[in-house]
Amino acid sequence: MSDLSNCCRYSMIYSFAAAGLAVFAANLLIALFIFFKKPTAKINRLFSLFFASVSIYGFGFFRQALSATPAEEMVSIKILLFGTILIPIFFVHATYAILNKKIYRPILYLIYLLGVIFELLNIFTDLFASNPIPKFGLRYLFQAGPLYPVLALGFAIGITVSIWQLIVAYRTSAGLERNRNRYLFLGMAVGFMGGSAGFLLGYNINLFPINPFSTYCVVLGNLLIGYSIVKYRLLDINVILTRAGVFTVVYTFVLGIPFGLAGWGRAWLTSLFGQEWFWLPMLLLLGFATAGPFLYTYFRRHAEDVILKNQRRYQRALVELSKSMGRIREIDKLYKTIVFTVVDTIKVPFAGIYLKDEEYNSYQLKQFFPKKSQSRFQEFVPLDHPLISLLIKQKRPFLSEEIGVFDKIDLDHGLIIPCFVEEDLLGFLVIGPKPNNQMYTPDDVLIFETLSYSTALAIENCKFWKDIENRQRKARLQEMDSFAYSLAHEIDNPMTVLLNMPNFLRKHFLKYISDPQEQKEVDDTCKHMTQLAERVSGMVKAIRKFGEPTTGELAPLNLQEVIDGYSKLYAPEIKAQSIYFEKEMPNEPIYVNGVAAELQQVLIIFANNAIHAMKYADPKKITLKLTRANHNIARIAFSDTGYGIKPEKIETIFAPFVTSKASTEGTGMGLYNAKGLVLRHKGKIWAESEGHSKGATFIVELPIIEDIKPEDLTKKDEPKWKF
Amino acid sequence: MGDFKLLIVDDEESIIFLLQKIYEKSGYKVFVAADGVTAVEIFEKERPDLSFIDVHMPYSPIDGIETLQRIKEIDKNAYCVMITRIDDRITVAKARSLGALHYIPKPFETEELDKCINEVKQKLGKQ
Repeated sequence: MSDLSNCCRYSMIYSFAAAGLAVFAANLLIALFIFFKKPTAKINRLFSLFFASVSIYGFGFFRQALSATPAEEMVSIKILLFGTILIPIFFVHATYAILNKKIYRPILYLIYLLGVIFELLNIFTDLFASNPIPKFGLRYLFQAGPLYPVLALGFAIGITVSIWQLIVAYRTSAGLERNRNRYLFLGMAVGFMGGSAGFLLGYNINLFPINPFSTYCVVLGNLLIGYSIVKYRLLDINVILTRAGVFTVVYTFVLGIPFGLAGWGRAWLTSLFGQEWFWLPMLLLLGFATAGPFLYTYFRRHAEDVILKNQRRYQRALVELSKSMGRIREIDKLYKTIVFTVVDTIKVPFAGIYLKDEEYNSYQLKQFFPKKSQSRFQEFVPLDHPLISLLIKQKRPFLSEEIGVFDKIDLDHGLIIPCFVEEDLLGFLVIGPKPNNQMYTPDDVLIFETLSYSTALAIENCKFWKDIENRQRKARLQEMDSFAYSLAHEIDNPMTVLLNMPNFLRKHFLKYISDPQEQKEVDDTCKHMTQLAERVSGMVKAIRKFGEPTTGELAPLNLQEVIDGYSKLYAPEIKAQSIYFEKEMPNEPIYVNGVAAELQQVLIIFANNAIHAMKYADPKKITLKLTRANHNIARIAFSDTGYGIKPEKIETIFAPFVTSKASTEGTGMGLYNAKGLVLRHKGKIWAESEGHSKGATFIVELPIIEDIKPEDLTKKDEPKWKF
Repeated sequence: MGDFKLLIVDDEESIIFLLQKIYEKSGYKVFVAADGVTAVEIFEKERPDLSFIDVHMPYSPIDGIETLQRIKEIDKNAYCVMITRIDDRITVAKARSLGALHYIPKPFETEELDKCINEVKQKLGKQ
């Protein structure tokens, strides 16, 4: 019998000891981990101290179970209580810190002062615990002293206040923070519920199996919190709960069957095996303990498959997207595909993509989806913006919570994913928050990182193709220019003849036709021929003008004056077409090298096109805007509300013979000539249009000249080509 | 009218064909030359009132500018109008310095030539 009672006692001792050791080890690890993760952060230091306190408590608990004499037990209980006193103090402080709440200073000092007093009482008196006696299968266990209830009360107050704060914070927070607070609350609640049962031991109450097994709850709670603090930004609560649940169930069976057999089935086992009864449970324990991890992994995976079904689905879709992106050659299509797929598969409320634009020293918004999210995105983020430096430095996705307030994009708990090629930040993706307050998991981030690499590669790929295409087109256009030029040379002689022959015939031979009807018919035919010839000769002249050097010498001039002159000349013509004309110019003059008449000619060409494009438009409006594109580039933007330009035409409209007008209305040479004139001014010219029937904007950029003296501006008489 | 003499210098047959037809019909005495050397010879012999000279004549031993120069050497008051397919500032400047009356780019309409003829007629006091 003594063997049996010994066995029973030892099993209890070891249960207590194991629980204490687990708490001690787990909390010590977490404390060290949190501290070393970021030793300088106040939150990390406080939580580290908190877990260290729990660890001290655990060590006391462990030593208590093994105490063989009352004196040993007294040391153990003092260690245990040393930790117990510190726990609520650091918990309150750390909770307030992580929730970003201030504690009234004197109160904080008072709490710490109370802590010091309690510790002194604990170390030097036996007011909290005394007179250890054998109980609960342990050799010696303390009994509650006179101040024991005060300690319990203080503990309860500290924990309740903090947990209450966590509940409030959880309910009022949103997105990621909400998830983090949920963890904290859950972990703390589980941990303290288990740990607090220990207080009952002092009053000789033990509801088996609450003690010592409730102590394991402390470990479980610790794990929840520790993990959430370290990785709170990236873990799904469902996942950790599932894992913890699966773990508990698996190990309840794995450990429960042998222990249950040893507990309840002992009589039966003894009848079967006699003194050797414990071999079966031992063997079972061994076998199950070996199988445990495998079973856990197996069930965990299946459980996660179920709860993460949705996540796995879109992760697969994104991986597919990553793979297929390399096949896209048009950059606009690429942006659209990425943004749309992200929104469609993850079901986020919005997504956008920004790309580096060296010319404008910024990251420009290239695409976003859906349309109604436009107000979230600003057109550009400057290269020197703190966000950009952060992305370049850390090279990883960022959650809105980590970035803090960000003036350029309304992220709303979303994610920013940088795209790198080597060290170069090509651009970044902006992805809205997951639906239903779910958080992005580490798996998600991994997928997004893959997506960002593929995006970067695909962008490079597109750029490469675009570059090739541009070169080919440029070569083609140049070829076309020179072809047109030589063509014009070849046909100008025959054109001269064709242009004049019909009139010659009319003038000198019409009179010999006696029948007036026939006379008129020949006359009309000749006139028609002349008209056709005039059109061709118009083209020939236009082509020749393109290659012609500027007629006047480039001289400094004030762009405002050029535009004013133009509007004086041409505004009546525009208004006559019932078109609203508006111009915007800065107050300070902008000087460029140029020939006023030629720049005005460019604007006249734009206006002619606009008038034609707005024939059936409503409203009819022309906006002429002069701005500085940057400190040394002047920009003239000429917008109309006409039928716009199709995207596939936007590059070719400056080539010769391209016209949107009916064949009788234009030569297709207007923009071609405008380009020639602008090139002679060492400027750039291009068109922008959102598409058919969305209006068009023609943009001319000219180099600004600074430091203009008034005498530079004196007008010279421009030579005329006829003399 | 018959006493107004025109010289047309162009290496392009179609141009000569056109202008000869038009101005003979108008009643002028028209001389034509397909190259600069012939043109100078004709000028020396016939002394036309007005010469239309094509600047760019790849088939002529001398180009339009040199033809103008030689004509001006013969008669520095000769009225000459240059016709060209190249809008070349240097050529224009040269022609002007050599005393050309006008400069007409191709393709032209005969009205432009008519204006020159009328101008010269007025200067010469011919009807």
